Amino acid sequence: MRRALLLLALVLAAAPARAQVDFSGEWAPLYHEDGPERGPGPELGDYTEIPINDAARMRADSWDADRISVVTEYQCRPHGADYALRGLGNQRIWREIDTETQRLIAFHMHWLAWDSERTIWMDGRPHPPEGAPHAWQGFSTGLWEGNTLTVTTTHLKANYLRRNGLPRSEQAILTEHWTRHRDYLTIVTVIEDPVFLTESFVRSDNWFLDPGQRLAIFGCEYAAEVPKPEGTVPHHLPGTNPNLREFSEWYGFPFEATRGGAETLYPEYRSKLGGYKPPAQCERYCNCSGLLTCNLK
Amino acid sequence: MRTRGIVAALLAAPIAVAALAARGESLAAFGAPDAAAALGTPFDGRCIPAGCVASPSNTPGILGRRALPAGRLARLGATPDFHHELLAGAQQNRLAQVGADAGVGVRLVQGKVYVLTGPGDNDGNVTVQVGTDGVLLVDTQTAELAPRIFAAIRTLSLEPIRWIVNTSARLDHVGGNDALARLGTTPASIGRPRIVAHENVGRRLVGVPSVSRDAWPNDDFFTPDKDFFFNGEAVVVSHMPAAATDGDSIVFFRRSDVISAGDLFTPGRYPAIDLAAGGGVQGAIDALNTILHLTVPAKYQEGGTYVVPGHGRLCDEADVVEYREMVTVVRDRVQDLIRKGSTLEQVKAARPTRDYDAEYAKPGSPLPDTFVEAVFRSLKK
Repeated sequence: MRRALLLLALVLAAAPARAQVDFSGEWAPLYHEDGPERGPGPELGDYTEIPINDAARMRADSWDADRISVVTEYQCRPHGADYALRGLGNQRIWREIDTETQRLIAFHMHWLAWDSERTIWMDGRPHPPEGAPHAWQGFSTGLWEGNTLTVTTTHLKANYLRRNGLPRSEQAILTEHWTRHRDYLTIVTVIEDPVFLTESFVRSDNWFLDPGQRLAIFGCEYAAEVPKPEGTVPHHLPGTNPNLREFSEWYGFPFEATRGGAETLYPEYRSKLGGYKPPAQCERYCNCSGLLTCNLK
Repeated sequence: MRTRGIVAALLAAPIAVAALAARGESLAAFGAPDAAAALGTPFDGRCIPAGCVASPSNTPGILGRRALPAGRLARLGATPDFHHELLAGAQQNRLAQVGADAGVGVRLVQGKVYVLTGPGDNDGNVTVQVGTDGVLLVDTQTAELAPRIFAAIRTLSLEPIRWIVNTSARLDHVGGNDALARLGTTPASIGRPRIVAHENVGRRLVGVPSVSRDAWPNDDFFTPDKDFFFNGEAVVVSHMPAAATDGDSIVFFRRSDVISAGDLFTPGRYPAIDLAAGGGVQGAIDALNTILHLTVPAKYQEGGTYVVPGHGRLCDEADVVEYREMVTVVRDRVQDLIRKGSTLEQVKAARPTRDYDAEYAKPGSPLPDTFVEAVFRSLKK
């Protein structure tokens, strides 16, 4: 009898108080979703399937990629927590456990891109007040929903939805749903941005467990690359951006369809494409699942 | 006694600053040599990482974004943990509690510098530097808020207020001068605090009935800078001519590595450029560029030098970059419309701020049309 009670006590002590999946490990990204955008980079003027408003569209139309070279403060600017999942997404995840209570305090993440580090607090602490500084990775807390970890991130610095100038404001709230299926990790992200989005923007990304992965140091040093007057901010004046039609012309899309907005998210929008005829032969980004397979022109 | 205990506990509280050791490891450029081999081209030390934009350049002589040659890459000193301590550290929580008791927001910035924020959405920030020499304030909000501000200051230090610096003549920056000077004078004080400002601040205050003579600056300067040493660090007050007004200054705490920017930087609000008070858009942009010249970010554009705005949340260089970008782009758009012969009404009708309004048109701050008009009239001068 005493043995049975002891066994029962051991079993109960080892059982988790609630669902707690361990996401620890070295994770390598799978780029099969949105490969062209995530690998070589999005096309200029491609705002398709993003529920942006007019302000976001105008901001993106004004954006000039030269800003990244000319404005030294942009050169080493990292992805935000929302975009980091889609960029150079190799990451390491590890747990911080309270040694006294064995309770989970936090998940920590280290990204290859910009050596960014992020903490997801699991100990129930509140989010900071409004006057607190904002960070590229924001401030994240997690809650378990069954075996799925739901993460809420606030206090993000202003950054981008796409690397072609589509903006994401610092007022955005990022919600993630993390699910592990054995050696695969799926994170579904939901961005709500009252400044630039008219409805939630949902994306998903996947990784596979790669125990042999060894993350390199990203390293970045900003430096003046071209002589320019101090304070130069490259941008296109309204109506003068010459690159906005490249995307629609390459793929034969109606220009209006490339301008984004909530309507372009849904299948019903196909009816508006009317006489759309895809090019007879794919010539660009035809089989783009990695940087070297994208058939860049 | 209780107050002394709180102060002692706050001053003794350790700040969790992470070790900043550089790793000193050689760089692997994300597998670029392998990529070059796969392409059959020699690896020249550069690569285009997948996490970057590879878009065409439309400025002659400028390459699209690229990773830097390996020889120029460097592991920079990192302070992310300190930045995150600013977000939600234990000391910040303690400060938040004592601030709540006083009805004022209290945050440690870094080093010896704190920021106090009034209870209202439009209340400005008071920057406080404390140490064994006494208390220094940058701006004083209003006379009505002075007792609360003073109560919050007393949770940080029991030393007398010895310096007040006004970044502007605006009433929400100088309104508490006299009240705080009186409250902050202790038996240990040697007279009233020095009240420092550019001479144009004093000129603007003459004849303002709500500001008593006792609130006027008593230590003004007409040179580009005024500096002094206080609480173990250099404090540099720099005049920013013809910016929001003609009397604006920024204050740089050199060892704490904090800039108090006054109304030259108001994240989430359009700049309040007052042409009648000698302000102008180019001066406002010049001031932002000066701030960016002084700030040095820590790892990857985060932390490093912190910037306390006149109104709004605590910021660092990247936030000032966003703001400078907005003001510069709007100036360029208005300039372009002027060049095309547009009148003020036509410029307003073109809504050159429409992609910024959701971020910067806040209640209590300048309306988009007000900002556009100030830009227009500045450029037409």
